[in-house]
Amino acid sequence: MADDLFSRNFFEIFQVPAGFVVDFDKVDPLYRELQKSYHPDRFVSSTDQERRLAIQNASLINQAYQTLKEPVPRAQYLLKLKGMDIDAETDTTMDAEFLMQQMEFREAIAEVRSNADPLDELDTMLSVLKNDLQILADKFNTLYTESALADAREVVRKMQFLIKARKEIDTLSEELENELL
Amino acid sequence: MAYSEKVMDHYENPRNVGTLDKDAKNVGTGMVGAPACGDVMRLQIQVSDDGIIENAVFKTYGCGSAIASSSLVTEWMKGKTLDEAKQIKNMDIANELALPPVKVHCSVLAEDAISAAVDDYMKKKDS
Repeated sequence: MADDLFSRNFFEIFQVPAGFVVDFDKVDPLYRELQKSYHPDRFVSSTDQERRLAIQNASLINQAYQTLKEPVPRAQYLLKLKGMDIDAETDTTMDAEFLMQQMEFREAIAEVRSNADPLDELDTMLSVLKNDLQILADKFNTLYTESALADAREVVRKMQFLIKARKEIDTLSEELENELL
Repeated sequence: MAYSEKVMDHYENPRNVGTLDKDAKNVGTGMVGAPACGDVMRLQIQVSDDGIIENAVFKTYGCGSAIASSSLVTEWMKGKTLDEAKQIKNMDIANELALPPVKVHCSVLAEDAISAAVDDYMKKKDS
């Protein structure tokens, strides 16, 4: 059992190369195995210190898995490993054209209720969004592989807006579905 | 998150929500966004020939603090010169709305929106 998880980065923990494309056929079984080996149940008769260490490891493993699982946190983590500052809240400069599109998209979501079939409309929006996200993810992968890190960071920032729009669509879909019940 | 009374007031009764013709020569449009929370803000100003802001409108998709910050600055900007408007700083906004530290970035967004709108207007005027 590896006791030095804390000295590894999240990719090393799951023994996969640090990159945007992750082989979850390798990660998932290892994740389950690691979860098992640090499960609190296995440490009931251990010392306090061992127990504490197990909890810390378990939480690290979770954090590592959650980070690799979703494209945006994974991309941000990759940039962080390269020493890029990724979440400066005060940096509001963005491609104006892109922001304009986001604004229009959010307006369309907000006004979806006036549609004849709002749920159907939301579904359409969601597939457009998923497609856009995939395009950005592919773009990130290319830029990151080419070490064009500043451009790659810009792409992740765009993805964050789309994720927010997706959350709004999800919330609204849920609301509408509940109203129909 | 407990919002201050002033934030709630702007949130429930936002002032000056709307759109101006972004192609008009006397209109400046500022688009800004905060990736961390996915907020998008559009601030537009209509400027008179002698450089006074006659009208200011906004549209914000974001949290209560972001909406309140943009609503407040539209009120503050009206009647000001462009230079005066650019003097509005995020801390003025944050103080007026009693924003907690985690929400100060919403006021930064509003300050940046003012700059972007003024810059857009100046660029059109010079071209």
